[in-house]
Amino acid sequence: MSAYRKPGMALQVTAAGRRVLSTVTLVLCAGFFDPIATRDGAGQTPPQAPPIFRTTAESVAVDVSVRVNGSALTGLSAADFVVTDNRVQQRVESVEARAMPLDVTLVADVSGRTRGSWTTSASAADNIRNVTENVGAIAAILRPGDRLRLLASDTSVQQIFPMQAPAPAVVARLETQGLSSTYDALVVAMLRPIEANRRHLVIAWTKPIDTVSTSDASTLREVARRSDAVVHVVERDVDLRAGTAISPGGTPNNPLRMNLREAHVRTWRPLLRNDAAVLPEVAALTGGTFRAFGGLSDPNAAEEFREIFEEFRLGYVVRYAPRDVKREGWHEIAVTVPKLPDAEIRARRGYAIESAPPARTAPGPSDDLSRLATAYARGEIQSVPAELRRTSLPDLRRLIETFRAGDSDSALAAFPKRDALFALELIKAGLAASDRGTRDAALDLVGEYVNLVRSPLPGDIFECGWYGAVVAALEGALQGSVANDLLPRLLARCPADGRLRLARAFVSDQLAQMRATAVGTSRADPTPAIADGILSRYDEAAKLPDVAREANVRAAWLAHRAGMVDRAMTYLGHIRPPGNDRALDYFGELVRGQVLRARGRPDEAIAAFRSALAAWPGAQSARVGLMLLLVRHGERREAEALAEAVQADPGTQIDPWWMYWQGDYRLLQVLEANLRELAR
Amino acid sequence: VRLLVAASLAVAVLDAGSASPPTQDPSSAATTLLDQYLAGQFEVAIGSLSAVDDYAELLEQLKRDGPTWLNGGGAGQRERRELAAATFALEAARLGAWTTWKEVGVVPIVDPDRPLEAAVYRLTYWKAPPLLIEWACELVRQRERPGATEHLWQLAAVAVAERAQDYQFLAGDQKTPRLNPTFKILNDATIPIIHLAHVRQRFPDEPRFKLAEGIAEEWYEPLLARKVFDQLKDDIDVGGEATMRLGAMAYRARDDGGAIALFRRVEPLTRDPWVIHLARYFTGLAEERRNRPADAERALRAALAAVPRAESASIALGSLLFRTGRRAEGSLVIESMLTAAPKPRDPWRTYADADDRFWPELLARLRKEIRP
Repeated sequence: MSAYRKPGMALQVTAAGRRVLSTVTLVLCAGFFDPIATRDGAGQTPPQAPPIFRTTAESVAVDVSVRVNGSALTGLSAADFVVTDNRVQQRVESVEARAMPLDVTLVADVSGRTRGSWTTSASAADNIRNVTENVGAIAAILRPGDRLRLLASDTSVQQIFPMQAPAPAVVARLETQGLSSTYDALVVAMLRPIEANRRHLVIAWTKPIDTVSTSDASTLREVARRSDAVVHVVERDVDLRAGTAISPGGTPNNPLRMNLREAHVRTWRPLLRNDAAVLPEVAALTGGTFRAFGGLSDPNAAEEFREIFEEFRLGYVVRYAPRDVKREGWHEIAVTVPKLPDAEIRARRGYAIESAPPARTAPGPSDDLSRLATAYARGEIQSVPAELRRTSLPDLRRLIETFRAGDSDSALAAFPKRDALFALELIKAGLAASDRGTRDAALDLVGEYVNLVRSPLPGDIFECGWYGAVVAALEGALQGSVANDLLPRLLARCPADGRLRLARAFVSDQLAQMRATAVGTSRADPTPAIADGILSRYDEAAKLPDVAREANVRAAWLAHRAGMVDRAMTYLGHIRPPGNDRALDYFGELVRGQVLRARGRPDEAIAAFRSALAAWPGAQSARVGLMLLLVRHGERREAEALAEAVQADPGTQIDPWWMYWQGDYRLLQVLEANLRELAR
Repeated sequence: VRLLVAASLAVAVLDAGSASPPTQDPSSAATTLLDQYLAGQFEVAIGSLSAVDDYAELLEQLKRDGPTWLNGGGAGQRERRELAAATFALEAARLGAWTTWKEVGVVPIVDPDRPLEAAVYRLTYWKAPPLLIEWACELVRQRERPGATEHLWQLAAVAVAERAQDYQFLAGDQKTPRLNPTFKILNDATIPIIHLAHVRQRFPDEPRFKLAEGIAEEWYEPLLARKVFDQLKDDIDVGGEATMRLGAMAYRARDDGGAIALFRRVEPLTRDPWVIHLARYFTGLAEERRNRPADAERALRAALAAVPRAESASIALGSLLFRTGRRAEGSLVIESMLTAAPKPRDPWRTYADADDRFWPELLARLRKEIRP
């Protein structure tokens, strides 16, 4: 179990007799930094205003180093120290030697050369060797029970290995990309929580330059002020002139015969922070030391480490229970040893007790959407359509509108393909709604996502597949005019997509059919002139192998309806043998039967209707078509049997023809399954 | 270095001896690698380059032996060979971007006509990686009409150049005074390349190439970059990124309110997680600078929803939580970032690399076109 603990200022409850110290320490250290946690801890409650520490309930521990004439001084007792907390003198309860086990974080700057002065040019192999040597040197100095982790600082902060028992470790890989994350690396190092009865020592082998960190100097100082760690900074020399070479020779027009050349590799430097004060301040704020030093692998590196550790271990842990000071807020600490006025005393400058964090906001109206989106992002695809079907219409509309407004916490943000599929689920559900407002919201979502689903790269399979699926949904909802407006744009993005090409023709066909029906003509058949324009689109689609069959079937049916029987026969002649789309096989034979019947070839029409029934047994349209022909042909017994079968049908048998005017909607599940596979 | 190059390429030749079909004119190691590449043995060919730290020798071989190799399969194979050679060169340039990309010389020059006006000029000495791109670019753009494959290759080339972070290669150097051509001191390596100029000539309507101009200038000629981004901010394909970059520039100029207003416009324009993450991340930083920690926290959490465990947003959020009293939560965010495997590409730290995020997809598509 781990909890926050501040070696420099650890707050402990001395709940005498109730628990063993270690347990109490664990509980209250958490409480120290998180007042909420203390409510259930050792019976503490947030203090009433003005909040003042209760005298014996909590204590602060401060790491203190005392040096006289450059050497650590040991043997001091509680009576020797004077501690003030926000300028109020405190009673020192105890002074202990710092014998607790150490957790050491080594921060190694690998953004350039790791030996000698830091320069931008570096050999990865040299860096690995140098860092490995120094990890070994530190591991050799640490004692059993101590632990070590390594953070490498470059363009990124890399944890090369986590906190672990000290052992010679071979660093296998270091990324060196050349930017400097000095500030971020220190922040990351200092944010590590400390376990009870341990100390956290950060040794930063770094340079003052920072070129990419998200943390600025003020953030770094603020973190240092509040951190539990004691930070020792060993600052490296920086040679920014390295990489520039003077080439002899020059040119005839170069009278100085000099040419300064500088090598450039990836020159982007978004920031240039070079604050000489910040690293010493970080060290001072945490009670650590600051030293200027050469390279990571200088011969005396191990000795430098040893000095840091020895000095740290020869220090004291001074404890006091804060009295007569306001509990929350910043506490400035000052530690002195009056009898040694010339001693150099190092201790952290203060600590903070934060107020209770703001209460979490109550669940908002977008919670349902977030829950569904999160499920979808996790790949729990199946539950979402069912839940959307159960959603009431006002709620569905609100869901769609909330989704359009954007949900910044949505887990789908990381998965743009799943996000587009989730939008498709909402579109389908919205288009199927009975109220116009919800349908309009779904159509708005279509308009938005047709843009958002565009891939940065042309001809993307997912993008084209998504277009195909949304057009199928629009065809299924008889929203041909919307699809018709969209299709030229979609085809410009996916010119080789057969289904979109076919949809361009089909949607025109569907619109013509719907317009004719709307004006109340007895037969909703297009005129030959209208049909001719649509047929040319079917002809275009028929050039693409994957949709040629369907294009010819639909063209034949359109030509037949427009009275262009010869042309219909020509299209029928182009229809290739059955494929793996049973519904299309059925359409083809059914259309063939109708055209042949109109052509006055009843025997062939009867054969076609029988083929249609073979393709889709029990389909009502084929049964009726066959029955009518059989009656005219005098085969009444079979016709009567068919009529009885039609009447006796319990209505469970689906006739694909009923979906003829919904175009690709019959394929929507397959199209979606393909998209899900691509989004996996 | 030369020895190392020669040795590496020699190893490649030996390796290739049993693996690749014989060429008509196996005159150099480079053509052997091209044979492997053309045969779909991409990793073998590129793997041979991993030990190379100076690509000048490779460039020389390609220039010398490339033309013969391109004709080695007859007219029927010519186009595929061109794409293979160009893509191979592009991959080599991308690997070589970690070696020296160019040298910039500072040269005092006296104009004979104006001897009292001596000036210091910067001269660019292009090294092999950018010249490999240019060699390949000439190959792919020789057709009269630019096609889909060239378009794909140029997108990939811009991605490589952006990763090399060289504005000068892409857009030229507006600040460097042009040398008087009467000074006969220029050699091939000092001629400005301005890669985007010939790309734009081939694909004048491709918004991603227009955007690349702004990206190239963003840190060097901000006014020019802002103008480009402003023109593209409503573009259906790159409007989201252009708007995000406008916002980032406003943030850098400490116009936090203006930046946040721009970042709010990003999400209706794109679903690119990289762009969305950056818009949210910068929003978080701007809100923190405006002393609105709750808004900053919300934005940074949202950024991490778009790219989970991204380094910069994790550190910004972890530090914010730590400083506002939620230390355990803050350290968990940091720990989660440190232990992410694989570590996600951090959008802020790859901000300048721009289209390089599309490189894996672009390369896969190019290789698919080349594969026999």
